[in-house]
Amino acid sequence: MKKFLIESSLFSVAIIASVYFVFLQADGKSDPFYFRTTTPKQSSLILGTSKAAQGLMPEFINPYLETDIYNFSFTVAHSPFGPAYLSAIEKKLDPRTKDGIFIITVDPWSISSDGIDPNDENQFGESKSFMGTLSSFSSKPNVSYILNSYGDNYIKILLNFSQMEVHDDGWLEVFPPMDSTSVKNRIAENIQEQKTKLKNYKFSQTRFEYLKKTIEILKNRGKVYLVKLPVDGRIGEIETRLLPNFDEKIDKLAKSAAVPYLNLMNSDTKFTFTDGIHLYKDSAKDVSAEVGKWISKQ
Amino acid sequence: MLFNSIDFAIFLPIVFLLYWFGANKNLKFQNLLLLVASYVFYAWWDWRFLSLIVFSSAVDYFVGIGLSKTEKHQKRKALLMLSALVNLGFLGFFKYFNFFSESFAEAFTLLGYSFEASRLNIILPVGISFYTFQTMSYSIDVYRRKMEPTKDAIAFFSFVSFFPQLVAGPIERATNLLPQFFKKRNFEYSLAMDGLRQILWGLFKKMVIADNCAQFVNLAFSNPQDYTASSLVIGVVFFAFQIYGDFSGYSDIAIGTARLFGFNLMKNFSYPYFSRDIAEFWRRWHISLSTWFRDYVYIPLGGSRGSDWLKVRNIFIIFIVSGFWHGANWTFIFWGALNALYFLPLLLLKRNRQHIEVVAKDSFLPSVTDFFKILFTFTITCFAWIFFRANSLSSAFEYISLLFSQSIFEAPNFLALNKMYVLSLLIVGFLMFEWKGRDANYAIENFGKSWPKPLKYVFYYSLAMLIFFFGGKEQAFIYFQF
Repeated sequence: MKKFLIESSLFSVAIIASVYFVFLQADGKSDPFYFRTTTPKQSSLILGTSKAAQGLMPEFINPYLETDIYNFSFTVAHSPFGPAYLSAIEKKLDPRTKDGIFIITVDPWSISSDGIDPNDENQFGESKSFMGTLSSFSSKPNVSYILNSYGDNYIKILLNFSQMEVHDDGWLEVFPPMDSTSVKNRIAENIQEQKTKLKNYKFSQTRFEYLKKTIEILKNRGKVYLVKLPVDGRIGEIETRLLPNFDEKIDKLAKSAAVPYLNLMNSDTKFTFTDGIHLYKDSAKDVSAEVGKWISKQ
Repeated sequence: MLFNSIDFAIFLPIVFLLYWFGANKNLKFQNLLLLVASYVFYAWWDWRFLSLIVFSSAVDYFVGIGLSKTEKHQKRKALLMLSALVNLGFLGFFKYFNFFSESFAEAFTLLGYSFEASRLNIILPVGISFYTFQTMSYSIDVYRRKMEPTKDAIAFFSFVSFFPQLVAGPIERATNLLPQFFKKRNFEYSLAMDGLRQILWGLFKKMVIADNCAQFVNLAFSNPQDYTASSLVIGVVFFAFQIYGDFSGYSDIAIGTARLFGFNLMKNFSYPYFSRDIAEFWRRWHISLSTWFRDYVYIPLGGSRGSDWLKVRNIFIIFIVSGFWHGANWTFIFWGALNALYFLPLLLLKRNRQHIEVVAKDSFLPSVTDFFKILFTFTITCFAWIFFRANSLSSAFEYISLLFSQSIFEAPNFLALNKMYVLSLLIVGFLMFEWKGRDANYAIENFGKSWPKPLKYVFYYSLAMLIFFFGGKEQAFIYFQF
């Protein structure tokens, strides 16, 4: 028995140590979300869905702020406004924060839901994802995330075939082919996909209340800015069909919450998108600088 | 609790240590510990259904005692009927109620009488098909006087709920497993190491082969119209490896786990994809179920004795019942019937026992004839798997019609093509190990047996890391739903 216990224990230790070593290698190229769950707690955050994750680069906003901001945006499936995202924000926020900067990006999808009852919190899908289940968003390695939410074989942690990279500041860089045919195809696919999604999604008053709650909580920790990022005109039309009075709603909310609101859909600047929804990095730089300048003038 | 979960990785060492260090002085105490551990293992899934196992066990325990107290044929028969009624009653209600209700409604609709089928929202208790057959085998064997009934309730209840094989077999015979609960178990280093080795191999089959295949199989069978025929062929072949890796992997983990506690469970799979005909396949696939049906259904029906008509009837009964055991769906019945059709020519030509020995015994490669026989058997088995995997008969026929299209000559169009190629390589490697170890209890049982210990550990470590690196997403075992 002694021999068995020694051998099996040593073997188990060797396996656990190797696994832990591999987990330590996971970085921004391993997964589009993981890296943001490993960085330390932050005092200034960019919040929203994948539009913000790819479209707002802290590197180009920071020169206009007195602090370093961190991009803590995910996707419309993981970080629409709701109990899970709010709880994740609170976990990521440094409890000592008093004068942080919070850029909250808004769009019709992030205050809508595809549940049978869009106002039923129990039907919010993100609660079952890592957004709702992770106990920490600042552990390295984040073993709980890797074990329960890592979407692929672990061999990918060591191999670098990734088509994207999450940078140290939380910005998600993607590397899609940008020739005109590829971009055109991706835009067409997204238009089709969003039209299909439109059939199931409805405005959610509950999510809207959570947006208000998020603003109120963050106002106690610093200054809050609302931003609507640009999208391709055809995608914009679909969003308008989802929530025709979106701008009016957000204007009203901004006024009642006394927070500034920048709607970049009204900007005259020409932007480049990777797929009609997400800004390409050249445009992301411009938009980030524009947002930074706007904040510095407030 | 899944074998491939963190929960089980914590549960197993705790029970192991308590078993060998806390309860090793007393056999009854060891059995009690196994009983409690088994109930905890099952309750992890849903504690409410524990009552079913307890009730089934109690019925057969008392039926056994009742059988020992009477010699009257009528009374003995009544007791056996009671056991069958309770066990098959549970199985019928939880597994087949909705199926029969809907099928009757459909049949009456065809006759011109339309009425709504009453459907109950029933959860299928995990493992019910396995433990009811196991506990029934006890009553039948006692009735047939093949074994003496036991009065040791703890041992008997532990036998019915023994956690390594509780939810997906092997379906043990009381004559094999129950006596092991009465013998003192001594820890044996070689037996325990062998158990760990078999667990490791089972995890490889389940997590690397089955779980990765599942991703492609799910895509192909969910939307076959989106894929080329070549992709659908890959979908079926991958399903063949998914179900084999999944179920035989589970059996390996179960047998290996039982060994850690000093028990020997029966072999459940014996390299079925190296079979040279369908009769050999069925001697090598899910052996514990095939032999259960053989001993308790087929032979009492007359087996292969009697006229050709009787033989044909018995074969169809056995295969259809076996298909139906897998699930309440016409697809399983069709799958069973198709296998009966495959089997029939061999039976009628008296060639169903021509391949008893392991293929290519004492040689490295199979003969050309054997190779083509294996390929043919694998192909017809894969064809039958389509019915097993499809959600309905119409989906199965749709899949088949799409399979025989011109796009068979086009490249597969799965999005994750690289992953598909890597998986194909892993399957080839897996088959090489299976081929090399085809006369052993499990493929790596004797692999590197003569190697120095450090080298052996390098191999086990590599296998464990392969499981870690290439393991697919954690999925429940397919046979849990049966």
